[in-house]
Amino acid sequence: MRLARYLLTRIVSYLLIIMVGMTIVFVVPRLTPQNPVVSMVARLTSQGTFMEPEALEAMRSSLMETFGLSGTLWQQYLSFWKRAITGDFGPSFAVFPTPVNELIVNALPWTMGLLIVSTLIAWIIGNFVGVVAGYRKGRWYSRVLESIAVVIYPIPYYILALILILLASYGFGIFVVGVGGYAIGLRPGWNWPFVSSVIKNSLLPALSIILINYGWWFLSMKALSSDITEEDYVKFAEIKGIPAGQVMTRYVIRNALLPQVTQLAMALGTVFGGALLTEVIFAYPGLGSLVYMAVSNADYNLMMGINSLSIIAVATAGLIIDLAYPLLDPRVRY
Amino acid sequence: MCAPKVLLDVAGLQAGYASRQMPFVRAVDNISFRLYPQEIVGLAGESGCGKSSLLKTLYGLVEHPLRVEAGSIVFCGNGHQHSIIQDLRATQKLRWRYLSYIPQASMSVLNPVVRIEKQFQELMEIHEPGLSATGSQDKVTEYLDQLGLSSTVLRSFPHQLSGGMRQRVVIAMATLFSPALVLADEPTTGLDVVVQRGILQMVRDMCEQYGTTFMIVSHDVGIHYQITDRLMIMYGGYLVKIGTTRELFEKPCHPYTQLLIASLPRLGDTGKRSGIGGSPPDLSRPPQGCRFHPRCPQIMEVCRSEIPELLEITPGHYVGCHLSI
Repeated sequence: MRLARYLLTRIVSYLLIIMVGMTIVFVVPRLTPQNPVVSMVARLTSQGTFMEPEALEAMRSSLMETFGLSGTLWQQYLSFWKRAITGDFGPSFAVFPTPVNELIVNALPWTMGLLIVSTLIAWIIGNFVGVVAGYRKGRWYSRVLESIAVVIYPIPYYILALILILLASYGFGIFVVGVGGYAIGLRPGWNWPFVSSVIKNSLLPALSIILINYGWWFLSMKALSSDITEEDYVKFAEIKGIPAGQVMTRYVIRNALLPQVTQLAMALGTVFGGALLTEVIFAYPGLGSLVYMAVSNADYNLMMGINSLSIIAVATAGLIIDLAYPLLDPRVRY
Repeated sequence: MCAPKVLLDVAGLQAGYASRQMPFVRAVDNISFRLYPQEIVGLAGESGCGKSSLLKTLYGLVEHPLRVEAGSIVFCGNGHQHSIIQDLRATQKLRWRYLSYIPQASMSVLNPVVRIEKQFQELMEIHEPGLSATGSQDKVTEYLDQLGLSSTVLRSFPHQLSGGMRQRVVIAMATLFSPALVLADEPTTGLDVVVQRGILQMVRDMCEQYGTTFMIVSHDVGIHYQITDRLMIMYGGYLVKIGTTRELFEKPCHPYTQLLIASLPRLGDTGKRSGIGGSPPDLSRPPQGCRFHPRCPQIMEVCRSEIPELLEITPGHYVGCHLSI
């Protein structure tokens, strides 16, 4: 009974979060001074095409319709929801007339492949090294590891990425910085030249994400586990004669991991927003590049499509972790 | 060699806390005593007199800033003579099998995210690796059954149990392998008297059934009166008195012991209880001579300059006071 009530309120709040988020997605582009229809008409007329005023007007109104800009703000809002629920965000403006959905579907595998893999790697390494440093605080290697993380973590991401490019491509010449997801002239498919090229082109962006995230995971895990190491039950585990390795895995990690799992779920949710800086800096074809293109071209439909996806993904990640938490932590019951 | 029938022989033990900011705090000073099989020994004293430090040292939990300066602790509970302090590595192997320790605040010592059953199983895995999974499970269930802990307790998580129940679980853990000696630091503190009684009964039963010796630290002399066979009184890092509990209550001898007992409430006595004036000594700057002399009502000249030795005045009854010489 209590579970049912909890589920109900949690799902209602889930839907509310999505609604509020999507509303913001709807409002914000309309506050910018850009207007896609005006700029599209300007683009056409500046190319020297002469158009009758009537034809121009007809085109303008049909474009308004396409971009969901016709009618009052309220009517626009309703039609926005209609589109969102049916999952059709209309054509993109920047790459007119490709549908937004197609652009997103094409970009999604790149972003997901890069971000999910690198987020997971950073999480695993950061947590593992963090727990060792937290459990064995005061040892020299813990201090060294912490100093490394403290140095890396505050570096602005774009600087770290540029340093990596400089070092890897110009300094040591290990990588040729690729443009796009794979080398030019290859056919996408399950063949070795293509796959190896994908891996090669994503190594550097992945490394940059792993490095910057590692710092955070390490520092938070170290703080958590050094607190937990002070807990009575860890001291008692040592008193009971349990070997240090088992104390670390069964007592420290088991207890410190709970908040880290929550954070991982949230981090994985944000994957669907793309990694804007990474993709722009490394010319990587993902959702981040798409966001960049959408914003710089006032592509309302594309912005709404990507942002809606990202809002739903983050909200869903939160929902899943909330529902799964009792499985991880027996003290939590609904 | 171990003297016959001696379980633990402590001689001239000195330990204390070293830190950069403070002078050395000697919390355990020149302490010698013996423990025998199948007895319950109490260790009483005010807060900060060194009770817990002594207990930690006995278990070999000497980590910075605690340091052992001198003395020896010889443990004979596993059939061999073993020096706790000199051979910490081997002490680790004795732990829990032959010698176990119940820390202070033991209500929060259970892993919060693991079922009680699993926590017992873990102990079996480590300390009795030869046993199969079902074998160890049976042993745990049977053992807890004997102690009157139901199988619902086993299936619970620590937060689902009451404080008294958790305390029982911890004591059950400490005695799972029927060790020769259990060192219990304030096992009943923070529990109401009914629960206290249950726990004390559990300790008494285990002593009688398995021949386990318990050393119980408590500042509550009433608890000692109820359960212990022998009692040791600590003051300012020194042992000032060792004797059978009965004898100690009947013939306190040492002024501190007398005052301690005088401060206990008695049934039917409506007279005013008096405390002991003054406060316990600061162990980083202990007073010269007898540690108790600034508070002692029967102070003599010699007390100011000379530390009294712990002398056996009648067999098994030791007093550290100039008065009794």
